[in-house]
Amino acid sequence: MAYLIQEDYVKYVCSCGQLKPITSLYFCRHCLKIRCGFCICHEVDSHYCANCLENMPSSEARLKKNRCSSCFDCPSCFHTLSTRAMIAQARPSAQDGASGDTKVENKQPKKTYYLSCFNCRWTSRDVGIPDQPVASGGWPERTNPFANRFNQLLDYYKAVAQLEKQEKLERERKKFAIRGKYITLTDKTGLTGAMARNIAGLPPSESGSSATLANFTPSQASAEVEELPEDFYTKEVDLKQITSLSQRLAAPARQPARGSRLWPLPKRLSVKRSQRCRACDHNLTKPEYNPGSIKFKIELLAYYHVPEVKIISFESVKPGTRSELLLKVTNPTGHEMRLRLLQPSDVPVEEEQPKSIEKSLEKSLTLEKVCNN
Amino acid sequence: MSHNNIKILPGATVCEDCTLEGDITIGGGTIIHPRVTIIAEGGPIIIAEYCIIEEYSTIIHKKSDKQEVPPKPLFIGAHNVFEVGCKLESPCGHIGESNVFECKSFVGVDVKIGSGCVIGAACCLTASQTLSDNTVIWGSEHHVREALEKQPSQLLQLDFLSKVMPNYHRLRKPNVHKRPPAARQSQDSSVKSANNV
Repeated sequence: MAYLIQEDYVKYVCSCGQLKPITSLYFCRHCLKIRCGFCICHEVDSHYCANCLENMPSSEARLKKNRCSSCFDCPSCFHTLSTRAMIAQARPSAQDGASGDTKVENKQPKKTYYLSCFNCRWTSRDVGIPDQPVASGGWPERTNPFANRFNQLLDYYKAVAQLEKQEKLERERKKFAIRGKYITLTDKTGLTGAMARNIAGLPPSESGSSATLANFTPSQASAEVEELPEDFYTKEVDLKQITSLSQRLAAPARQPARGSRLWPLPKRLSVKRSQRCRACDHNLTKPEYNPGSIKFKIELLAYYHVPEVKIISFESVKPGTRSELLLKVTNPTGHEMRLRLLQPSDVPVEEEQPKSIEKSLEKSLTLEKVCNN
Repeated sequence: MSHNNIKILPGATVCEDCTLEGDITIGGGTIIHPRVTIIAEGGPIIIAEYCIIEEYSTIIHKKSDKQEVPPKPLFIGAHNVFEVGCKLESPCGHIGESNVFECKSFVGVDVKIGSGCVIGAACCLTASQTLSDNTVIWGSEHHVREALEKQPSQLLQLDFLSKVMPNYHRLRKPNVHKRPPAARQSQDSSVKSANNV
């Protein structure tokens, strides 16, 4: 018994100990256990834009900072912006007046496009973005004022990651000095790649990364802050012009303080993810690849396997009297099912549950550690 | 209201299936959908040209205790759009032009509305306040924003409705036959004469 907007009255115990409504539970066919979103692996299958339903490979998504290049969100209320067309007569300019031939062109109405929000009626004209001659794309982008520093940091951390990877490889090589089937260059000649490069007179391969590591200047914390303008406390506040906190945080690079500086936000990409049982590594859900489709290739929901319990009626509990509770239990499968109602005394001890949560937590932590190492 | 004095100017499209009570003037080009309720119990209501009043919207000129004699009219400017199910209660006053009252919005008494304002869907204005021009109110938290320009007028929609409406609904016929420029004056004079009566 689960509702869209009401409280969930009937909750099921997941094998990890969490109490969840049946709509957010899965059933692993291979372990024969109930699983929930807390105790399964989530894997990103594909990135797509929820508005234009364009599929994007993950490398491209990373390059575009997980944002769609053609769809925008309203910077004022975060609703999706729509493109609206307006038929505008081309303005006759002084040049057109001089030459008679252009008159013919002027007569054709020109379509221009602007972005508009149907929720709060924000338009791209409000902040002075010029109308576009094409319906999609071509919207002016503002450069990030911290782009330089951003790229510096990015390069630095890439170099750090590379260095760590190399170190790890070295260590592994030392640890497992087992001769494999294949003979490497090192085994043949007693040379490492770096030495070979040195002899050949080539620059060392990791020179780029080491240079970025050396040239990197860490940011300096400063106690000096720009002073507030004098009329800060006395000037009257125009709330219509000042942006809200969420509006500022939606554009972290600029954090505009005034409404006139708001800029359309490129829409964030959504992901399709498949979910995997941690115990047996079988898929619990796997969506279809096409972003327009909401169907699943694999869909092991608890709703299809676990009897659904509904509360039909109940009496308020009074001390010393019996009260009636009417339950309806539905078997969703086509097979016979045995049901046992437990007395309170038969219910297994609760203590086990938190332990299993801890265990799964521990497991995930150790997994992370392994990954880090 | 014992007697209804409804004046429909030529060019207005007023469906028969709506409740009009009291002294109401409807300007040319205005479209009133079926199931609209307009009640002028506190004084006359004047609706200017090119308004769209959609289904189940209610406009009431409320009776107040401090009724002036003669009662002031409620004047609704041109190019206003009242979307489905909106409600406007006002004892008197003036509503500017190019406003949009979105679906299920409510504007209570003592709210003065300028021009180019948008009252968002399901927004409820009950406290006494004055909306300056181009104010946009939206969302369940009643966010307020100021738009740069007035809302674009719905001329295409008006055109379409005035063509299509007669095909599917019985209409009330215009009963004032005067040219639009002169109509404004006649409105005022007719209001005065109505007040004198």
